[in-house]
Amino acid sequence: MSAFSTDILLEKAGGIDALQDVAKQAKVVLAKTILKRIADHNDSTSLQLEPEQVRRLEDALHLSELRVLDLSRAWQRDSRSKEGLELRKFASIAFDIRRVLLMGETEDERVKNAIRLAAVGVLGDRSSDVRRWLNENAWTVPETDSKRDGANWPRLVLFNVANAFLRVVRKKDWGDLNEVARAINELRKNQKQYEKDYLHQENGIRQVAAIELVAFYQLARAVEMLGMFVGSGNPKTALDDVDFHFSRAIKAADSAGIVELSLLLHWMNMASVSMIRATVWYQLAAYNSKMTDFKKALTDEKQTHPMFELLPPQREAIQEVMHTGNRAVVVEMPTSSGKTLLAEFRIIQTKVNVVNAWVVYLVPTRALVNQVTIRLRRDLEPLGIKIEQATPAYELDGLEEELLTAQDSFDVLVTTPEKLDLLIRSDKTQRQGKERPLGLVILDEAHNICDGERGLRSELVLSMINRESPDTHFLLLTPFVPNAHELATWLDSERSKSITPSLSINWQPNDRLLALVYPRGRGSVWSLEMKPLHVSRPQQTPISFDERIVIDKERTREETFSKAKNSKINVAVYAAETLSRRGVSVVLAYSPADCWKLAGKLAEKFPEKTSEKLSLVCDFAASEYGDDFALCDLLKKGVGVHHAGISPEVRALLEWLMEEGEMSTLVATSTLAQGVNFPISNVILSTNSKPVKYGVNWSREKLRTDEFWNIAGRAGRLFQETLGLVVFASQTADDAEIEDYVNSNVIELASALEHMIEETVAKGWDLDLRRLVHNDSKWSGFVQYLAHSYRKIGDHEQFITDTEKLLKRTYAYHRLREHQPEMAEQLIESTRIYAQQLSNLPAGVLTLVDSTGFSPESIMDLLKDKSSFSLSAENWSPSRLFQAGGEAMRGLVGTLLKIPEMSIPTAGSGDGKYVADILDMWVNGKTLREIANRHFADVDDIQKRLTDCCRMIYQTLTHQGSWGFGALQAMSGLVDAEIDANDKDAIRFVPSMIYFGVPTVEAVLMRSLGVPRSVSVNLGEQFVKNDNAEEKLPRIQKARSWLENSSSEVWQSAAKQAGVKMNGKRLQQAWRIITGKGI
Amino acid sequence: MTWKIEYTKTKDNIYVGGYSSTDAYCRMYFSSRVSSKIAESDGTEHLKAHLTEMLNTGFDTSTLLLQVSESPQIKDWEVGEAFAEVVLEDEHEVMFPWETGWDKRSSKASLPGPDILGLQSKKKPRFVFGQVKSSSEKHVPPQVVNSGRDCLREQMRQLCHSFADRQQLLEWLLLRMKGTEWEPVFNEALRRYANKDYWLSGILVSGGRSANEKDLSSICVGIGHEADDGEISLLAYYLPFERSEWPKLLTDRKETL
Repeated sequence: MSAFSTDILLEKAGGIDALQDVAKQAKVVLAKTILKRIADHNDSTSLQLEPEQVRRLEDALHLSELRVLDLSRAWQRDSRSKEGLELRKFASIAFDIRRVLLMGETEDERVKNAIRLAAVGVLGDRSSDVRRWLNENAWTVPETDSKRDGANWPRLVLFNVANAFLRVVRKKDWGDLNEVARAINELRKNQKQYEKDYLHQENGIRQVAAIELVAFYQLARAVEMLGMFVGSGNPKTALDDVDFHFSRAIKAADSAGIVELSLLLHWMNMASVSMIRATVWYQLAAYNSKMTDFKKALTDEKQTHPMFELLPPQREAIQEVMHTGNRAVVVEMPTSSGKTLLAEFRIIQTKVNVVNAWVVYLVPTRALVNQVTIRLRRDLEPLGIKIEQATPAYELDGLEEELLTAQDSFDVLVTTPEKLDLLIRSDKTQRQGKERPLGLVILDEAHNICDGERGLRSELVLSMINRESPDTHFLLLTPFVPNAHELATWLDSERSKSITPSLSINWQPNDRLLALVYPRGRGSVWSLEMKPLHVSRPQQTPISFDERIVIDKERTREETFSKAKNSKINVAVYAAETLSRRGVSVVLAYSPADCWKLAGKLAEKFPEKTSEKLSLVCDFAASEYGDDFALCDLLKKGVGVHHAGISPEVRALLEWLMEEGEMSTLVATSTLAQGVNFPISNVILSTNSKPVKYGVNWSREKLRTDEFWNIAGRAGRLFQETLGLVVFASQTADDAEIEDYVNSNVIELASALEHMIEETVAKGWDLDLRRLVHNDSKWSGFVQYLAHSYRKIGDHEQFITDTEKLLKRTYAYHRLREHQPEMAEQLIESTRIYAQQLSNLPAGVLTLVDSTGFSPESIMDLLKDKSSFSLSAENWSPSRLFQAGGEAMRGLVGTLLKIPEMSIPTAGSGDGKYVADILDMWVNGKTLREIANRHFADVDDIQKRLTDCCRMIYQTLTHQGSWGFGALQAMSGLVDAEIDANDKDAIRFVPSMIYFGVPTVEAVLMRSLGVPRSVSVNLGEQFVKNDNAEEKLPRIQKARSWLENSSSEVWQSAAKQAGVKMNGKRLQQAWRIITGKGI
Repeated sequence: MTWKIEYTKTKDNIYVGGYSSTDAYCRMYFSSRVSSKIAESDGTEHLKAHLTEMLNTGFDTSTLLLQVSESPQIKDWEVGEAFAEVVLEDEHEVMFPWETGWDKRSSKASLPGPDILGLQSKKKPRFVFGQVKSSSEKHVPPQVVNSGRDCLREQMRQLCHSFADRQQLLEWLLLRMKGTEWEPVFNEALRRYANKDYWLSGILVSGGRSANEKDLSSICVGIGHEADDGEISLLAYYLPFERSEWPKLLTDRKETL
């Protein structure tokens, strides 16, 4: 253990802890500066520091940098050594401090300090921060004019090289990289002209001036090569070449004793090596040609944010993720640290290794399915990898069947766990005997596995796949949870890996500040103040300090102080108004009603604005909801709402408006806030609770810790906003409850099933599965898993023998065996008893379990009442079924109401007429407005009426209705009935028609491709007319290419025929936006 | 070497000293010590070596090569610097364990810095940072001492108060000394430095005029040195020859031989 020269100095100063404290102080300065800018309405205000404070910062800076240099040789030998890691920490400290110190009084000083800032930033794994700094501040290197500046040749060289170097660090786009080449070539052009006179005048016997120039030219070449490699990955020897030129430059500078230059060279050298190693080229050098294509696609000129380098957590995880010896990999990374990219790499890897394999990408909510599909398509389609989404509708329709069984129809399927469950259980993914291997299952937001029914479903579908398909690999992506390794070993006890980026455990995409916001004053004169909250997390600690800061200065206001603090909603409104000065905000509200209220009040404070984009979205919303729908007025003020009462299409359009900078604030409920995927600067919480449904009742619960941090993690994103603000609207200057809340620990990820078992045992009940299912439909998922396995195993004795093996596949059992073995034993026993009951079931019931998604108990109950849903084939046909006032429909709904797994709301006479009528209108193309006016007429307030109607339809009816009808079809044995093929087709589409709200097969096809309801029928007809029946491709693929190539005339004529108010061309634009194609 | 002390005093926490010697002695000093110091610091061989490695940079080397073949003229201020170094070595126990050849001090210099960087005393080593000014001016004090942005007073003030500047020197020294036989000496000096034990030295090499205390004492107050933070000395060496003669004096030896 060799000692370092700076050991003594470091000890004297109090060790690294003392220096990290100073770095924290620097961050506090940064935060206060930003807050001051908000309060002053001035983007360039800066904080005046006390000389004592400056001295302390400078001392710490000097020591940190000296330490970095002391460790540099060890770092060069092995950057992952203890010394290498320590170097990163000190460099990071140096960066934090440099960021808040003045850059210098002369141009020269500023340029050199910018280089140093960039270098320590890169070395400290703070590249994102450096890049943001370079974007947000004025460019330090002045423009040079060779004619004017040529007399001072070395200065000209320095400026040009500095310019180039900083561009490589920033690498915002190809503009930056092209500038590098330009700047260096500029120097070569001017060299002869200016060099001679300079040398004649300045160069003496020591040849210092000459040698200095040599050093500069070597530096220039190094930076030039650096820029080339970062952009293109060439030459492959770049690391050695760049290092060579730097070493020559340093050698020259040292031989002439040019101290400052020598040091700058050292810094730039180290930073360059770091940057080269971080590039996608370097990180993925070992892989095949498809990977090369991907790298090229990522760095392509046309990308808005070309990706030249991997983030520190990505770099740490990538090798393990790509290592195919790991069958189950759990990657723990914070929000916005680039998990999706890692998944994409793995997808490519899988496709290369097993060419006809398919991949499934699971997301927790339906809203995310579309978003993720768009993203994956954008990134992977250029490589020839086909992405499809499976609609979350429970039943499989003809389109999907085509898709799933056609040759090479898709490579990656994006869907929810519920849907995948069905696909796997109904064996639809097998193809005429030739099974297509499921290569990889990706589960995103895997921490949701502990969350209720949905979580349980995820767990069980993974268990099932794990058991039935030993060659399938798993990739789970989750934010930090304490027991990620348990998730990994659950799926594969031997060949598994949980990756917690320990080296980058403190890496975060942005700095964050959490605070209370509250009004202070009296009468009509008051201010808005902020109290930072202390959060003692082990990683990614937010900035905090013990001082209250005014963010909106005291002044006379329209509303009095007592009114302002009357409710958290009110306070949130003022907070949102103030923070709208910086970037985009999301305000969290408890419910849709609260969203409207808050948004309405906020909108009053903003001026009106008009734009093409806003009017497009307004028109679209108006066509669904009517002209007086409040959303339009809100949008004109730059405010949007995002909740279950807003249809998925309108929501997609709102997200687009936000990305385009047309909205300043989005008011959203929590589920939606979690799925938001665009840059936000501020998160404002008017509540930290969410409504949770139990059966038909709602209760108010606190957001889970990990849910909260997921939302808070959205504040501040990779390319913008150095500081993400997360504020709680508070009516008082202190709030102990919130302060505790933000300090609650993220608990271990447990299984939902585990909780259910614990609860049951705690209540003193038996684990009698049959009885439990009857009392609580939560258990349905689990018994279905057992039933499915029972069916697959096929032999009772074998099932009994294999019970433990079977249960071991579940995460619940995996954990119980470890932590509560007696309960694990009980579970085995209960399962065996249940198996006995399963063995007594009539033939065919188990198959129905798999094709309906109901428990055996529900199936048995249904079978007793078969007449209630046994319709003739004729009556199943859409044209008959969806007749207004049809008896058949009512009967079916009535049946569904009795099934425990269903949660269809009852109203009116309670016999299903209400729901049946709504479904009729919905499928037959009536607008939300029309349906709301007819069936929610008792709600006075029009906004609430529309909201409730939309919620009912999108949240419940489309999903439950399509699922339920599909299940009833399966139970009626229609599949085997003697019907004409075309009729059969139409009948099979009934569930999808309910899901999409259209009455024809072609319209369903259009809807699957994102076409708005209003023109789906007519566009569908157009497609059929133009379809080439000869082409043997799945209908959905043919329809997609037809749609993509369709002219606006086609849309216009369809819109006209449909009698839609909105112009067809604009509808087409809306469609392009919703499906991620952009206008 | 015998230098006559013309004046010494301590003013505003700064030691001020003026020295002179005989004409003969100075000549000999120049043609032997200073001359060999200059020869040591002839950068031509280095430059030649560096130029051979410039092959792949894409930059033109012809003008630079001229500097090699046409051996540039020795500048008079280079002589002044070399003189300062040898005098520090001979009279003040200073060591320069690495290549010396410092940044040019002209205002066009892109990276200005202290002229002197060394270690004093091997037994109790401490850092030495210094500035050198050469002058033949009759005026008291000479302009290079108290007039202009780059004058001695300003440079010493910088050295005295700017931790950042000294910091860089330390960083550079650290990198150079690491892994060499000098490392333990460096570590010791660093330790002393942390305890505010180091030496700042401002040297005036004056040609062709007599000693005058006011040459240096006039700038003491302007430097603003705190007593407990390092040691500062201002030293003036009064040579009998004008500055313009200095380069010639180096080669005198050959003539006398």
